[in-house]
Amino acid sequence: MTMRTAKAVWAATVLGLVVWGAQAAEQPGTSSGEKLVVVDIKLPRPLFQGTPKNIKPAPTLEKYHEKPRPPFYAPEGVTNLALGKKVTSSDMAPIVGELTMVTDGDKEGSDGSFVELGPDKQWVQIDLEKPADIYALVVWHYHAEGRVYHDVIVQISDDPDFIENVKTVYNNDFDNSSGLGLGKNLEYIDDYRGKLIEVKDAQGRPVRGRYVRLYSKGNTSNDMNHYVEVEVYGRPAQ
Amino acid sequence: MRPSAGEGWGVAGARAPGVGLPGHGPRRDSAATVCLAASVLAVTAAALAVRLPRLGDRPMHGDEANQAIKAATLWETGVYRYDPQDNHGPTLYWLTLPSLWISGHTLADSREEHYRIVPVIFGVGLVPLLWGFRRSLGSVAVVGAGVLTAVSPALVFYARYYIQETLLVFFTFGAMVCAWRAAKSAAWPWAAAFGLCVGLMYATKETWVLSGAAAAAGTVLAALWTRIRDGVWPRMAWVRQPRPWLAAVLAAAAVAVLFYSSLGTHWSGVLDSLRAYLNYWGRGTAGGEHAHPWYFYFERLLWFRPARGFLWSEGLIAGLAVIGLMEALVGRVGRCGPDPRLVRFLGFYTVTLAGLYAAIPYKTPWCMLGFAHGLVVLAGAGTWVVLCRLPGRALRLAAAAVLVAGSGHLAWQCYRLNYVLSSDPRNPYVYAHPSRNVLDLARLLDRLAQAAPENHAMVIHVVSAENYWPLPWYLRRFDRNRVGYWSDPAVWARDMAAKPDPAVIIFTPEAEGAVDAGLRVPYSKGKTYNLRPTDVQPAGSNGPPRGTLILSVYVREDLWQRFVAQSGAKLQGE
Repeated sequence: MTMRTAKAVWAATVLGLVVWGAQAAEQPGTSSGEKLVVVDIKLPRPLFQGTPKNIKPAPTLEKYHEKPRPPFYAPEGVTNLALGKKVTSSDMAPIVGELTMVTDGDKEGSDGSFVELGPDKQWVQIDLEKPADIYALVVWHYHAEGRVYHDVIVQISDDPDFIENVKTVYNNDFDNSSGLGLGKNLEYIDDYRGKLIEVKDAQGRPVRGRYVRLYSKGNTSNDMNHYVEVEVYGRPAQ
Repeated sequence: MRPSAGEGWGVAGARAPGVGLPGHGPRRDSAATVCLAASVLAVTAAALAVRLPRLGDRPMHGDEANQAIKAATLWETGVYRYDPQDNHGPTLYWLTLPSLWISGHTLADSREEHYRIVPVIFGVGLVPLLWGFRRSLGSVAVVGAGVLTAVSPALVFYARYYIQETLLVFFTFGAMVCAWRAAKSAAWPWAAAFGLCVGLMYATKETWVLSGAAAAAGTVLAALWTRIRDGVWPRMAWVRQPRPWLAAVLAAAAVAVLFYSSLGTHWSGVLDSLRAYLNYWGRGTAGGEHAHPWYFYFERLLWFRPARGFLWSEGLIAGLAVIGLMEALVGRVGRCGPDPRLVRFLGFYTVTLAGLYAAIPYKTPWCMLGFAHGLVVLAGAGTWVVLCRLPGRALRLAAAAVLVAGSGHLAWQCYRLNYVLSSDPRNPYVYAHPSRNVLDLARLLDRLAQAAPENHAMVIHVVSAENYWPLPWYLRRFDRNRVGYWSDPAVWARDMAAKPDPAVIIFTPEAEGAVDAGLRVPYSKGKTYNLRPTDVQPAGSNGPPRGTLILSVYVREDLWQRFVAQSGAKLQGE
């Protein structure tokens, strides 16, 4: 080993330790002091490259980055509770596909792996079958091309009719056109990474509920509402 | 009016199952007529039921919005001036007045259905018009054509579209029925009715010349074919009589002049109606952004596959039409079934009209309606062939089952295209159509007006070099003197210097720099709306899609804060 090689190995080792230390320091803790682990969110292959040219930057739109999303940490035992669970919708006769596609684990996004609901405000609702502590959702509306879905609103409740005890955990309806309140979240461009929505209450705790409902109201390409997949990361309530 | 044997174009001595011709005795004739009348009435009711629901559901197309504002202006002011550059003939506006009168609405509070009901009525009217051909086509063909008229997706879609096309088709078909009856009877009232229809065609849309040319070609070609095939020239009883001619010409001229002169108040409109053809000739042959290949209409009508899982086709109608025409071309006059001379005329007319539209570079899908309707009537004759000419009862029953299933499939397409995908680019009849997002923009503006101290008198500026229609329709409730439109951002910036700060600025992306530079007070920014959505494009493409028009909306900050406060208050109360 030459001196130059030895220096390079040392430098790499030191840099690796610094990065590891920084990541460890950034690792979020929980109020219960549970150990957090990286949640393994499997991503489909990208179906388009680069920033979509047909979508104009706006103050109400998240800036689009192509770099990978930072890892998401959650307590051990947190899994995708939505996989294979029953899905209902405001449009029970989809234009394309089946409602089961929302939770079938297929995120590829090509023809045959998404469900298309009719125009205007539509929702899909996932029944987790029992109350759960929900830490995050990942939503893939459609990622075969760059699109922004309007009025994305996510609610969690233990009431299947979403009348009582409804918690809104995400809302980017900037003009309240869906009538569920003015949203403070930003619109975003859908891509293969899906949209990770971290779910926390005011005290930073996960939100408890059995049903998850997701609204949308058309998109920048057409009037329809699509879902490739929805994952709900949580664990059964203790 | 029954033709006497050997007279005119009438069928002499023909007898056929399903053809309501004399010869079965007066009682059976009368029963058959009652039965046919009841069938036509039932089909008419079905056609109305298919066309009437949720008329206001689809966002207004730019052309519809333009027409609606012209009709409402006529209603409110009593003034109409024909514009030879655009907007087509006046019948649509005048015929909308009863609807606005009955509803008692002005432009501001009128809704889409107050306008769209007009083409609905004329679209439904195509079914009872078939009654005029009952003796020559026969009951099976009349009912068959009626059912297909009721459920043809193209005919239904554009009967719910506030443009001139359905009216033109109705008047054209009316002219055909009257001409046929006049030819058979030589009665001047039928000739006058023919003239009336031609005058209405002229006063409806400039493309009536294509329908007229196709009908003339159809007449000549059908006569030639009859001469070749049957060895006789058709004898039209009224050709050598001056009275029917005079009645037809006078009626046509009177109606045309009446409409184009705005009931005698604007005589130069009559001259303008002639000048317009220079403009439309240039537009039609140039094509511009509406230039499409020759097969544009046929693709949309017969085999339109915009994405996986979507296939639209009116192939059943086209197939039956071909069968009906072939039977008429090879058949002979005097044999049983629909009168081949009429079917030949309809066939040559339809083929000529389709050829003319295919040859013209300028194409918008609603232009296909004329020959699509021709196909439907021919398909009625084809229905007779399939149901009455096939050998054996079992085969005829099987054919009937196929026809019922095919009609059901047309009805299913009709439902999907009119009630599910009514503004979706995957719909073959949707063309440069606004997205439903424009409804959100309209609702936002109305709610902003509720928050604004001046309500609907708030000032709105629209800055767009692009075609911003149907925006004026959705701004119709606002004080027209306080809504301004600029096509040049630089001119807006100059004008803005001398104007108060508008409550809302709506603009297209290319105007953003000029708009930002022209602002004097803070505005809430970043609200964007799709006026027109993306055309169908392949998966994986992220280039600028054709036809997309995005509007940005700035709301003056003080107004936005009022709006936010109101929305917040509402939420707390829920």
